[in-house]
Amino acid sequence: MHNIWLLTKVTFKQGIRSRILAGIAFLSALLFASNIAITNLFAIETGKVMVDIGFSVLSLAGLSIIFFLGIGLVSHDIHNRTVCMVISRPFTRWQYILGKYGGLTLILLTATVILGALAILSFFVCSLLVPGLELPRDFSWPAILVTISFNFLSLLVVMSFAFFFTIISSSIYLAMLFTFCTYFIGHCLETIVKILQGGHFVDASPSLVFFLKTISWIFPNLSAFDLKASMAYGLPLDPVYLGWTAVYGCSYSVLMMIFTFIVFRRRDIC
Amino acid sequence: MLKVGNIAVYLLLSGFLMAAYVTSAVNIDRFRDEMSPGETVSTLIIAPEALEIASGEFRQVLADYLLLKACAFLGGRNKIKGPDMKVVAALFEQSLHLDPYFFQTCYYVQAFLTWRGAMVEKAIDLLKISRKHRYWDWQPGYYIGFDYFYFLKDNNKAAKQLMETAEIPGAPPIISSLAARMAHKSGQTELAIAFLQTMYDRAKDESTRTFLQDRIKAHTGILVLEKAVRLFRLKYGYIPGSLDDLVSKGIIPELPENPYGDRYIYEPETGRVFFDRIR
Repeated sequence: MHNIWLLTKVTFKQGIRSRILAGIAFLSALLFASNIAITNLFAIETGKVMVDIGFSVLSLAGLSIIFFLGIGLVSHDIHNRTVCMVISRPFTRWQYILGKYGGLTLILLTATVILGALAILSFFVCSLLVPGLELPRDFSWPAILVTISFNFLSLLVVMSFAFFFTIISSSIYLAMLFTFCTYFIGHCLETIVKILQGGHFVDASPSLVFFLKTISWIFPNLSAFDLKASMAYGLPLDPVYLGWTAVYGCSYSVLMMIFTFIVFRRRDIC
Repeated sequence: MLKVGNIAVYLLLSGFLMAAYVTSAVNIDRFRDEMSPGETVSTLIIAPEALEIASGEFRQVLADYLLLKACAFLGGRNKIKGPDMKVVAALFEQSLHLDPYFFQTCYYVQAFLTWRGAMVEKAIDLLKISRKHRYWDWQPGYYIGFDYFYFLKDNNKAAKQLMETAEIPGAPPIISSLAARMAHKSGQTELAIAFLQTMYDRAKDESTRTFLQDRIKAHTGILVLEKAVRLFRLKYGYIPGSLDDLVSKGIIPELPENPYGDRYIYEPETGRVFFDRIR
């Protein structure tokens, strides 16, 4: 446990010192500031636009951290053989995996807390500077916290397969490409299946629908974590649904970590 | 160390590049000003469903962008042509598919596609998306009802839409009265009364109940009079010249009281009865 915590701390410090993180934070701050200008361009339900922009920046920043920082850190360790120095010491491979994942989780958590606070600050500034701003229907702070938490959970899921692809692929670009494809599929697969089943748009064969439903067991359903619309329009959030989504996110991440460990254990690195 | 000759070459080259940059930038500005890019509007000819798939978790932001694009064109000092309005309709459709809850899209669909674009059926189709998702809001349903009545002259469908809309909690009582009026105009006065009675039973505040009670009374009076006119026609083979004929010929003992005025208004050409002069 001590070893894992040690690696977690090292990864966290390594990430926090990274200039990439500073760049992402700077860009996010700029985008949050632009929220005021963009919200001003709309006339009706301006609170909804404010929430849209705020949470989209939050998602974008989280994804940037995973793609440019998370994948980079792990990939650098593996491809520059730095990992050999770690696992030749009294560290097992699974401790390395858990330590790295823990460190990156801590970075994401810190970033989400800071960016979430910035998003809320941008809402507050918008409410002061945008004339006649209407807050979203049934606006509540707990709903904002739930939306931010599920955004974080979604990022953890993305990070778990980003980690997996970084371990199995030979190049950082391949890892990024695989991660992006999985992220994209995770967000659109449910919509595709619904459209095909609806039959309004295309006449899909049942075997295609069956195939897509089958692969939806492999790819994570990331759209389930997206609560932005519920927040923006005050749509009711079912606690049971939220509970199952949390269980789904956690179990998917843990399973991905187990697969990552299995692959990493068999991989000839040093 | 740089030689004097080299420095001169660098300075000359830098000066030439600077002059080229400034001249080209000035000329580009001049051409761009003349082009007036806001005169037309464009969108990707792509199915809204495909956009929904491609935009993922950023669909709301994309919906906002598409709506803003349409509004920037409509709000500009442009002469809007037929093809432009089709593009605007496509932008509204894409935006509504990506974010079917946004009221601003619904509002602009009603404001522009019907009045300025003469695309009433398209507007109704898009408004139905809003009505389905904004289940708490009476406005999309009210717009649909209005479009059926005003643009398509379909009182039957207008009545149906308005009756559904009136049942949404928070819908103003005027929607109920409009729905009843449409039902009466489409020859369904009994339906109008039954609907108003239901709304009356559900109403909680006293002013709404009084308002609906008057409407029920007015429509009941119309029903009595129109039935009497039909009876008169069956008995005498022609429709009465005035409502007083119904009393003088003994069809009804007396004219019912109109809660909104002295007498009911009668159209001898059609045999229709109204409680006010609004048509």
